[in-house]
Amino acid sequence: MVSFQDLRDADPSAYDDIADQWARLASELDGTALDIKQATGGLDGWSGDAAEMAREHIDGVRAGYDTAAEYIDRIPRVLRTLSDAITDAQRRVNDAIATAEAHRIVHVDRETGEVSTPPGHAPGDFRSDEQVAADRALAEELDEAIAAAVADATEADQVASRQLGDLMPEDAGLGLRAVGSGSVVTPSRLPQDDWSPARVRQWWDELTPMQQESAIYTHGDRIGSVDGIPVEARDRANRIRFADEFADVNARRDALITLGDDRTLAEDNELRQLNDVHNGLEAIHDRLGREPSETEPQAYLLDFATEGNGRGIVATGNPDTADNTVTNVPGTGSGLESMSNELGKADRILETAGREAPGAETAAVTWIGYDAPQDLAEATGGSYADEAGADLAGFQDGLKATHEGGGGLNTVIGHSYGSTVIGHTARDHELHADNMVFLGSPGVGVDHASELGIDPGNVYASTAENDIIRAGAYVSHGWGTSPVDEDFGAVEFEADPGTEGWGPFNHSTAAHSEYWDRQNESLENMGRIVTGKDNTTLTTPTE
Amino acid sequence: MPDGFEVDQLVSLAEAGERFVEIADAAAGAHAEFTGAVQRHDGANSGFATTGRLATLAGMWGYQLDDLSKRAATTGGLLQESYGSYEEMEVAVIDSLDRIGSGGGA
Repeated sequence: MVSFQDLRDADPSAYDDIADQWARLASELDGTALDIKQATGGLDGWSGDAAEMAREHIDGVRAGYDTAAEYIDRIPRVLRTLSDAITDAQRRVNDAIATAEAHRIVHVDRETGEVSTPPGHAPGDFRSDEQVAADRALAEELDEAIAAAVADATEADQVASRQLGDLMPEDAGLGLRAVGSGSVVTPSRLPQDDWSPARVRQWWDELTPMQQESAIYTHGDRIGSVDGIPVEARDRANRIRFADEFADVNARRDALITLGDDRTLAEDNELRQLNDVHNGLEAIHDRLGREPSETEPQAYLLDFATEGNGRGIVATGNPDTADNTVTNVPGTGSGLESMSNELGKADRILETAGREAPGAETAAVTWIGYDAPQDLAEATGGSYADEAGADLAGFQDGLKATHEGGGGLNTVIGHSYGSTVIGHTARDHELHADNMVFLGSPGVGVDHASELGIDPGNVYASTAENDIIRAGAYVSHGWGTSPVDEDFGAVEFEADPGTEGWGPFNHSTAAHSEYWDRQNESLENMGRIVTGKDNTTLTTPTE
Repeated sequence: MPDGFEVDQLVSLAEAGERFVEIADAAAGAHAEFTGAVQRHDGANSGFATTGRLATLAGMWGYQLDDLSKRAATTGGLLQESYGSYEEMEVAVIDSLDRIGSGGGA
């Protein structure tokens, strides 16, 4: 039963908006049924038991979507009717309250909605007997009006609830088919945190096709983030989860924007944070929706999170089938908001790789998979790099476990603090990478390339002449020898000097972020490294 | 080639499979979008029976649409196997779909 307070607090526009969302869903499902019908044409000419079974099955699914669309399309009308009834009841209650307030002797209880007036003459009450009687009559009238409005809202609520109760899937004659142990994966059967990517891959391969779909659709939040799940499956699970999260963020952001000057300080802060999240998600959304071409391959969403500064792992190109995969680890200030900029770097390295190795398939992974320090003060500590280690190592192991050819050429590129993340990971974990590249590095946590677990001949470094990070040569970062120091033992390659700054050494922050610029020699050199070109092809600073 | 399916038609079969997976994912995405969009109304109209009923309704349809997507994508995934071996795909289709049964109804 709806109370007076429930009615006062009710937001009928919420029902209207939910009605719109149901209507949109019904329309989408209607389209789904049509799409399936069209796609079924691809089975024309196929005969036999399997053909018959597949056709019958897909026809059943199409009919299911059709029926779902039909029933779901009835929901909006129910909700809009209820919304109208609530709006009407609220108007009547508000009118009654306004009338009572105009007669100062008539009082409406804001908790219960009961209307009252003093029964007789209290001290100081100079009303006539007639006026007392008139006030009492008005109070009774308003009390009845409010009670009737609440009763009507209750009735409308009960009718709507009953009508919705008749619109369940079972009322439409639908039921779940993909049930039973051969078709579903229960939470207890999902990969455990301590499973290696190789074990996860084995688990995945042992699932039936329907169990795999169950894992993707029902446990997408887990499947989408587990290293060792094949890239395509991981991407599908994450895209579905992404649609939910992006819609949620957009809806909340739109609501806050609509408030305008009525936003509170807290809401202003929330909107600022949501704008950052929105920018990052929008960059991912655009990348996932980009039409693939020869130079701009299909993108895959390998993980994302919106908490804190946000995370996102996006592969441009499929690492499971690529000949070469490059994982780019950004540094200080990175987060979901920097996704657009980082995806641009992925494009440019793919362009360069395409020139260096025409015909080879290269995938560029944008790995914002850790909580990066957000300013230089935070970046003075190594804890961010240490905490990122297990995740980066697991991710690289996952690439190896799911590669269809048994493993392509893998390169990790760390920029600025990202190089520290790679160094710490290689030092403290087994980092699966054939090449490591450090750009504008403040130090990687070791004093010599040989401590990184791979041949020093596959450890590369470059720091632009004007990069502000060189100022650190005079202020130790505390993360070991600089990778461009000769004593470090890495292969140093050339980068353009970069934008000149102020002061005696011309250092600038701009030069710290120009390694991926087109025409920059560092980008050309990275293209050679990620495609496995011989070290003699690299240009070096002394040339 | 078993049951008269020509080699040059395998590509169209596999492409249809890919399309079924895309369609299933798009439907699941539409439902996820729906869920995300209505989420901001959590807590609104809590005193109304309809609100509780709506949550149940959304949950039940969620399961149902999940089920339909799984079935469409499974069929699509199986058909994509014809890129590799038609014979293996045929066996997998019969084995997997027989277990699920057909029809959109209960």
